[in-house]
Amino acid sequence: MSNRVRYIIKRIGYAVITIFVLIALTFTLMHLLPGDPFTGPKAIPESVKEALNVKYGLDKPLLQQFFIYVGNVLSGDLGASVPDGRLVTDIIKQAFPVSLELGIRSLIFAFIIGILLGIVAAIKRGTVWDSASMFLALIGVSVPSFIIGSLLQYFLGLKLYQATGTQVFAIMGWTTANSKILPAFALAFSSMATISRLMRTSMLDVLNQDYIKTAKAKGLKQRQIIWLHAVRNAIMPVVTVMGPLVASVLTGAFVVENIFSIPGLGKYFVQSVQTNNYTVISGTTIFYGTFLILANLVVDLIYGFIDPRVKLTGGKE
Amino acid sequence: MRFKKVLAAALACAMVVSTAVTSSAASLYPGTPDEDMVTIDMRAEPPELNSLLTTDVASGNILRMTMAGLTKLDENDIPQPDLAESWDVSEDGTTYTLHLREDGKWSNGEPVTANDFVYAWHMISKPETASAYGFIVYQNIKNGQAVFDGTMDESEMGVKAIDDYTLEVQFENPIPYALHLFSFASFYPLNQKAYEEIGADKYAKEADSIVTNGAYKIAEWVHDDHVTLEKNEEYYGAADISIPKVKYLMMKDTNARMNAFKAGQLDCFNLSGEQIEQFANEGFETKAYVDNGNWYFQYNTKVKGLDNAKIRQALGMAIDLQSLCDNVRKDGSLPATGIVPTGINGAENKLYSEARGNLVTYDAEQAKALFEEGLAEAGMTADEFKISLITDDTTQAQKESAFYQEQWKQALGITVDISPMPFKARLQAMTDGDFDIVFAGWAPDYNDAMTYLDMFTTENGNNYGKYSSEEYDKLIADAMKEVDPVKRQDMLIQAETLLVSTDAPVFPLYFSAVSYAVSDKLQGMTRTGFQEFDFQDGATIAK
Amino acid sequence: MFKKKKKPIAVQQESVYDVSGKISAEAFEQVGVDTGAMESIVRPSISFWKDAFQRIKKSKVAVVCLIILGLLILGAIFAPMLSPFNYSDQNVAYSNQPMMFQDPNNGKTHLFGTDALGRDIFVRSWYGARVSLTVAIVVALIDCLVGVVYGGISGYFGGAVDNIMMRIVEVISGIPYLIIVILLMTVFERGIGTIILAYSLTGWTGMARLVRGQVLSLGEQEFVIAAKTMGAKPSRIIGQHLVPNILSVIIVNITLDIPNVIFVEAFLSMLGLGIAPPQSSWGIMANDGISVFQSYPSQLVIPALFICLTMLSFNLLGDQLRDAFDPKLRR
Repeated sequence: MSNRVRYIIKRIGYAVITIFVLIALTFTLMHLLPGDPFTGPKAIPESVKEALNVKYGLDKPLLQQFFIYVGNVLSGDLGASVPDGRLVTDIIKQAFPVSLELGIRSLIFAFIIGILLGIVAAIKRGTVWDSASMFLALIGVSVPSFIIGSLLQYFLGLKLYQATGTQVFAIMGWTTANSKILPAFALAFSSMATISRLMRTSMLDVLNQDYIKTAKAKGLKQRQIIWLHAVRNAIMPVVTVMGPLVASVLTGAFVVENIFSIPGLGKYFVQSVQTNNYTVISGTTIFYGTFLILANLVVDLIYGFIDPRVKLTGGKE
Repeated sequence: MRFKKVLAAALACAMVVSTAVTSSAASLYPGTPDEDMVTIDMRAEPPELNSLLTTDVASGNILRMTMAGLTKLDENDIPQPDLAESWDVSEDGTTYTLHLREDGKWSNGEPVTANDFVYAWHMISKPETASAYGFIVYQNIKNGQAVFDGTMDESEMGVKAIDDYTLEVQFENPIPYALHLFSFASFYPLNQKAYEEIGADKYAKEADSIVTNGAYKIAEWVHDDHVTLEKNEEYYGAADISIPKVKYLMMKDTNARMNAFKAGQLDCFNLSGEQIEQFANEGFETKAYVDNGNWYFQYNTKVKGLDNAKIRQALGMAIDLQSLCDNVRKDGSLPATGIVPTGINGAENKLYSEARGNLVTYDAEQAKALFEEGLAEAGMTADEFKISLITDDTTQAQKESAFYQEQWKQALGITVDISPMPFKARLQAMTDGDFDIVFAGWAPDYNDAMTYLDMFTTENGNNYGKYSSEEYDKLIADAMKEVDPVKRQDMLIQAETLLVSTDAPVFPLYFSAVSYAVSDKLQGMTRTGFQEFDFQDGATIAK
Repeated sequence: MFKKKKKPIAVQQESVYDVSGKISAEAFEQVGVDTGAMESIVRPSISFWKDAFQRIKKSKVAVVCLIILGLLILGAIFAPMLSPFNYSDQNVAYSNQPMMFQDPNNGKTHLFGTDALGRDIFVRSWYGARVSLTVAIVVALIDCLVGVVYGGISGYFGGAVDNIMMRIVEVISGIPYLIIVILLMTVFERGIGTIILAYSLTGWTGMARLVRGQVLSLGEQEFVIAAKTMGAKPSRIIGQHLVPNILSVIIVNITLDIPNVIFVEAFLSMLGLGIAPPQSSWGIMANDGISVFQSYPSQLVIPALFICLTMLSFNLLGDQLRDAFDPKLRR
């Protein structure tokens, strides 16, 4: 077996263990939340409460519930939302594609703008350009997304409409093309800042390398050096933050989804924690967790394939 | 491409900001462009459209439009005939014989018969249905509780189909608000065939898994995004329904609603206090109604210090409710005059609150004096009196709590800690008796003072403060059996006086109001405390 | 860049010439070979820290950031003491007043106006600075401490220990922190302590990873191997050799962690999970402000500016520190 295959198998094995621990932890934590899914503004008769517990399998001992749950998860059944009874898999199937599209759009925004800013800052290091582009990048990350989202919606959604008489950007929803720009943009800001700063550091690093000096000595034009040699190599580390970035975009999505009334998965997660909706809490956590762990895995593997210096052997020769 | 768009937009935006737009007051907001549809914001997803299980306002809004019951409320919350064309009431006020119309039709083509009601009421009284609101049926219908407990067969329950179109209902006690109850979702009929075909677990989870009989049908339901209703042409009263389609959005953000309304993407939404001011400054007229919600402090009478009635009275008397409504809430809410809000019906076709008058006073000086007396009785000093106020974690609730805290500090010189909690955690703390004072609200189930007052009897599950008074319990129990409406009302007023003024285990703060903006397009919509949205009382789309 | 002008070597100015114009042999002196002088370092030795400090001093951006942060901290400490208002005093009759509003009753001026309950926004901003900055700095320090110890141990021992410890980190960072935070917020009393605890429980993983990576690469270097060979205890190697070498990474990460925490605090406030009333924090003020910004924009702009300024300063400072500490970027 080659090193690479062994490494991949090992990583997948770890991922499975991680997901299992994640399930156990989430399960424990959510049962510590005060109250239960059926607590409502009006007192429910004891006998009804018992019947509800039986219906959702909450009458059994916790440990037994846990094993039943793990068994169900393994067979792809995430249970039914309490107390309204929708299947958690249905919720994810309906809501996740929306969140995913929002996330991808915002990451594309973030990457293009972030990398450009990073390059400018690095080439013009120490000048006004450097400060200006870093400032621009940072201004995005310095304002919480709920403020950015609301401001974008107010000025570009409403005020622009009132001024021009046409709806350039829709204020809410996720159906028309003009409704998908503002939310993606609002969500992109913080990732953009991360990417641009990483790109700047990485570019500075690369620009000091010998092969750049060689290229200079060979008389290549500045533009060729930057685009052909520096940027290609400097982008490499940016790829590694993809995993964490996906995570931050997914959690950040909650705020943006609320402001722009987008039917995504982010708000289900927050709502479910607030309403003690056990199955949705654990269902979305497991789904997100698995998604992130896989995203990290894929990023690592991709990184290994593109960068010949990284050997996929887990650090030991 | 996109970059250019963004750039252009940014430039345009800068222009807008620099040249402030001024617009005239006339016809500011014409509403959505669709000719056959109105779009309103309902704020939340209807979580349960199965009428056996439903408990919440949002689901109630959709069911009211899509289901026909025995009666329905008109624009003044007065019950009117719906499927029941007429009815006879027995001398003692406990037996109703209802004559149903013969042209009621389910969306699966079956006729609506008396048996559909019997089936629904039997189902809701089964423990395995686990209906959180079922008690409103089986505790009122004769023998219902015994059927629920399993000590009697369901055939002995007080609901019978005399023939396909005659329904006989026997209540345990004479209920003055029975016709109002019949319009409540828990009393809706259910199509047995459809319910069994779809299965209880799946019923009403999606637009195509529910069978309805009302003025509208569910055309589209995208969870947590929108529900679209379409006029049901087979409904017996279809000729009186004029709006072809209604779209309910579930928006979560206050500013977004305002922006959407102003940009013509929304015809109606609820306003925050600041938004009312903003519209007032623009010269745009907003509307409001008292929603019969009541917000109050519930004191834990088992906590040292709070077990003293004088201290409890003092805590309430120290709060300037007028200032609360005028300066903090600013949404048209009314200072409470008792535990029963002003919109609730009373005897002799008058409002209950008119007979009751005002039971609540604000007097900071007397509060201080009472507080000192109470402390002396309890054998405590002001320093030993350390309590906290549990409140919801919404921005509004926390703001109000800060106001109460400051009022107590100024009037009584005490510092009350505030502990904001998520909704479920607050209810759990209340259930566990793990609180000093809790800021709680109550929405009525039916249009009668009893829905507010029976919750403070010793054995009631909603009596979280563990208030216990033999006198109070007796007044409520007697009122339940009393046939004469005026005598019954007197008993209830006596009980309420005991509750609010004398013993003071609760302190009513305000009767909440809902302010909303409507576009010029949408006319004649009904919004009341019992019908958050209704489009069946002559609502139209203005041309 | 740091070259110092060398003093010219002193030339003997006495006459070394005799009458005939020849140089006498006595004027010459045998110097020999001074091995010590050959080895001496003429350029003043600039330590790592000195170099970094000098570079920071040269960076205008870094200096401005430091000044802003200094002012913010001083303001947070003293402004609430000096203001005639208390952060919780209400005057609901004068709520939502504009900036520079003068109270007609007592003639005192509300510099930043008043909020929805008629509380002075100026003093609340500075009180909020106390809360937000305390939370941010304490969390960053805890993250750093836990992260360094954990990452250091993991990276130093490597092998199975490292594997297990890193798996644990992966699991912890896999749990969305929201669950933990909401849980703790509901179980414990609202307050600075709970926010700090909640965020530190998950926040340290990033630092642990970073430190581990650094330790792994440093561990292969000669001076560590030398120390090991000489029988130094692990604690000594970690403390004496590894930590100082990765300090720059740690410091940079702290400055970048602080804005993150401020962000989280704002996010929690938005969910209603912030600090309990009547206390203020920037997150709570921004959240209150966002709901009224169409009517009273200053109530949003003021806390947003505070947040923005702090985050910018920490972020820019972090970037400058990174440049300053990075030996590869020495000029």
